[in-house]
Amino acid sequence: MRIILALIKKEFRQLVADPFFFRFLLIAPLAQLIVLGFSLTLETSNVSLAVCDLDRSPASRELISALENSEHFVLTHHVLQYQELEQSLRRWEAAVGIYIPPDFSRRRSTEGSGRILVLLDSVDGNKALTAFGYLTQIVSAESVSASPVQLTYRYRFNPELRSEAFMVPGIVVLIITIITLLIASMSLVREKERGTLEQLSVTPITKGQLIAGKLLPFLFYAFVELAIILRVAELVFRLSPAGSILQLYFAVLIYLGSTLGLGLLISSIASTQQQALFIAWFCMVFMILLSGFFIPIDNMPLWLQRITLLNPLRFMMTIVREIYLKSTPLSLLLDQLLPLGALGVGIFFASVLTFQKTVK
Amino acid sequence: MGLKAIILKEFKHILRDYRTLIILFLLPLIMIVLFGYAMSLELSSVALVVDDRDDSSVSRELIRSFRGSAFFSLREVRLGNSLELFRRREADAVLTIPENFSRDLFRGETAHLDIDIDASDASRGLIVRQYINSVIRTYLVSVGNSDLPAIELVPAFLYNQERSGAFFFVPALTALIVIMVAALLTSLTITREKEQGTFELLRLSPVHSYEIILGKVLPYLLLALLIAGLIVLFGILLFQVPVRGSITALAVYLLIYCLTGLSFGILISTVAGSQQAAMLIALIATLLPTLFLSGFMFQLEAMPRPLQIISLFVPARYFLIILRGLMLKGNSVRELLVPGTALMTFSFIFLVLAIRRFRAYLES
Amino acid sequence: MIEVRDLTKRFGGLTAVRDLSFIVDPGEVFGFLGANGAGKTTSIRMMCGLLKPSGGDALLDGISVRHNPEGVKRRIGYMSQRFSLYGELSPAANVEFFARVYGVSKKKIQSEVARLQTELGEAGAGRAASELPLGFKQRLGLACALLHDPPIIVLDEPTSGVDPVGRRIFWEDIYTLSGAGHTVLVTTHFMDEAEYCDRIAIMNAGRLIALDTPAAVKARYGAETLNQAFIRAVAADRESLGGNREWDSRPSS
Repeated sequence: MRIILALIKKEFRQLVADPFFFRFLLIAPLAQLIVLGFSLTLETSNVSLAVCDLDRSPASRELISALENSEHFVLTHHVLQYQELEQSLRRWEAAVGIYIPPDFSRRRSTEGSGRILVLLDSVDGNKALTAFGYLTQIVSAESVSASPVQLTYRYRFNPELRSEAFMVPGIVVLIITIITLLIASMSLVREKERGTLEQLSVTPITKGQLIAGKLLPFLFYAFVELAIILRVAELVFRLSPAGSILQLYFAVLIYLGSTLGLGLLISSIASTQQQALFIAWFCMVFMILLSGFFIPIDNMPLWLQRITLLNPLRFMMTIVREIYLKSTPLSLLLDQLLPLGALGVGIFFASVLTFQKTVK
Repeated sequence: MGLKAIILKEFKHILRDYRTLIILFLLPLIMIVLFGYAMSLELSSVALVVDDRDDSSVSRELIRSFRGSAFFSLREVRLGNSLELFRRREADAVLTIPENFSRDLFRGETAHLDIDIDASDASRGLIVRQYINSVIRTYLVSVGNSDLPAIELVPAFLYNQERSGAFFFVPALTALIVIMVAALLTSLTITREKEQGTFELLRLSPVHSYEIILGKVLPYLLLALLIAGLIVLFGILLFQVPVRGSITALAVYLLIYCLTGLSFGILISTVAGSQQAAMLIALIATLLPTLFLSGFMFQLEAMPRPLQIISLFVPARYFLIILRGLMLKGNSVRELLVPGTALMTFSFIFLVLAIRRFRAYLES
Repeated sequence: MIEVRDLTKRFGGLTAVRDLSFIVDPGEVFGFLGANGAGKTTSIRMMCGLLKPSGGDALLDGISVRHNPEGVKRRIGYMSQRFSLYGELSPAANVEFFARVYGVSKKKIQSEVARLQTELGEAGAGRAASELPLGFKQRLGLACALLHDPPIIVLDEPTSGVDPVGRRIFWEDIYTLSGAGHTVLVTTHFMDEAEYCDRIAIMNAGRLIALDTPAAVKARYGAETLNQAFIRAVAADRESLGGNREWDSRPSS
């Protein structure tokens, strides 16, 4: 026990002695949170719009002004010909082109509905789809059809439909992952590189004590970071967990078993810090891609979905979002928590077995 | 003479570090597969829970029209609590048909339908709404309770009709990998020599400074081009990503972009004292902006102004427009004049800066 | 104190150390010599419990390296060739850390730190250990190896890079230790230092080719200096091996 404490004390002393690292540990997560929180938006807004109105009727003008007023679109061009519309899309001047044919309002009054052609730059397929969705919404609001049925939509948990709501909890977990996975593995490899690991090997320190002494400080850092990030998220994004913070911490504790275990595993494989960085980065990218952070797991092909079951981040991502946004209690999240725990135990076990005190 | 020796040594070093090589080749390929197949906003199915408190033939028909759609998986409850259902992740949306729905309809009064949507994922929520809306509207039109929508929008999805994710991501991944190899690895190799002290030896040897720069940098240029080429090839073969514009222009701009990355790597190596520092600076200054502030995946127009301004200084932003324009839109070089000039300007500035600083460092 | 019996280490098809056998008496200063790649470091590492022997065994203070490497580690103090303490921490912090690891009493820790402070000065004791001049670094390494008062001390090229005065001081410390009853095992390239040992062993190509007092070894090879004796011993051994390829092209151990 006293040995573990000695190791931990040494670890903290090293941290303090390295001002670069210290500042990095403190500032980087915050910077990441802020930059990512604002840029990680799968939202679509301010889409550039070009219009070719050959109808020039009150109806078409009304429609155009509705589009102009919408926050989703920015009207950039009025063109006189269809070809120009295509051109502005090709020249990256507009992402959406609206073509209102000359017989638009005539058709509307005689046949009941008029057609509008929408050109969508689909290089970014999702953006095109979402933009079209917004258009449909605006248009249906405009087309006052006497419908006796009123639809009331209520957006639960996120009434303002903020995309940060979905992203920020994920980013929080991401930052914790970076600290434990990336930095823990590099720190372990640094001891290997510098030769201090060899010196430690000659002492009566056991493998268990060494691992505990190395990883416990990172557990501590992670929780301190978590507290800081939660607070910052609250201040900057006006987002705080709707559910129990204690339960969140508990879930994070279990999750850290996986990340610290992986960090340990990586440190056994890598012989230089550069390798540790690359391998850890690689693992992280994988974990993120297969976690449901960007890409909903339901959208993935079945074989890929099965692979995600091996990814602790997948379960943590669901848990953090549920607790943050829907105040879901852990009792309803057991189908996520249990696999997370199993993975944590398994990975940690495997990593401890592979870890060798002695250098080759 | 010294140049050849340096190049050969660098190649040997690259090949020996097979772990890094594997990652560099494997990572983008896996990402393409992932993004190509999986990244799509289109929902496979919406889990809809219906609470039919009306229990009339009208409500039944409405429910049937949802059942008929392949996009919905339906479940019925009585007196359900939508919050609870959402917390159990058993529903994307809950449609509540109130008990006087059909009665109000027949009386000619306004009838109501309540739809609760789990909006924790905002973009998904929007699409769920769209899907539900279109089914309900279609149903209402079919029973004559509604007029045809006065305005019908006909979409034409240009340049990427299938809205394949691969079209979007193959150019993006190319930009990402090139900057990783060019900036990160170059800066690391030079700082490693600095750390090990072998750089001193180089400086003292009769090798010219330009030979040192070229020797260190050329292997990584080749590596970056190789991987970029592989990515594009993979995209073409596996996902039928087209190359509608000039291949020569593509190659030239790719080269320019590589040079930008390499210059940046050299610049970083003159500033960083240790490998660790080089890694961190490279990551922060190149990788992260390329990932988040270049239009790689996240739309620039949707970001706050300060970030948009920063993105003006990210070379990847221009390279992505060029690459996507050349491959997907069949842009001519003239049409890409603005981003092209921007990229070349950046490249030039970085190159000049890098060479000057490196020379200064060598001669100090 | 140290009994090495047929210690052998194989790396794949390569035999780095072959049937090494010798005995070191308590309180002896024992020198371990050999060219680079002769097997010195591999042997040392096996004896310290850092490397598992392929065959044979070594008993340090009666404890088997093969069966109880952890027990061996308690009995030895090890100082590696390169500086392997925590460079960014102060000497005092290093001492404190290793002392705690070995379970040394608080009193002892305090006295050691005080001793350091008088030696290095108040400012020196508080600065980063990596900033110390080389001689001080080595002495710090030695101090950390001695914290738990081990009966056996193993020093792997402790004076490489140190100036002659520093080396002299170091060897005075070694004599003091030997006089106090510690057994000291040293590897070195400096033949003048080897003269200070009670007995020396010369290794070549993984085997022991000479084991005796410095005087006896010099006499055996008709040399006036140990340097000469060493060169002749190795040359003679190489010849008897017939220029065997395997032995000539081994990686440095």
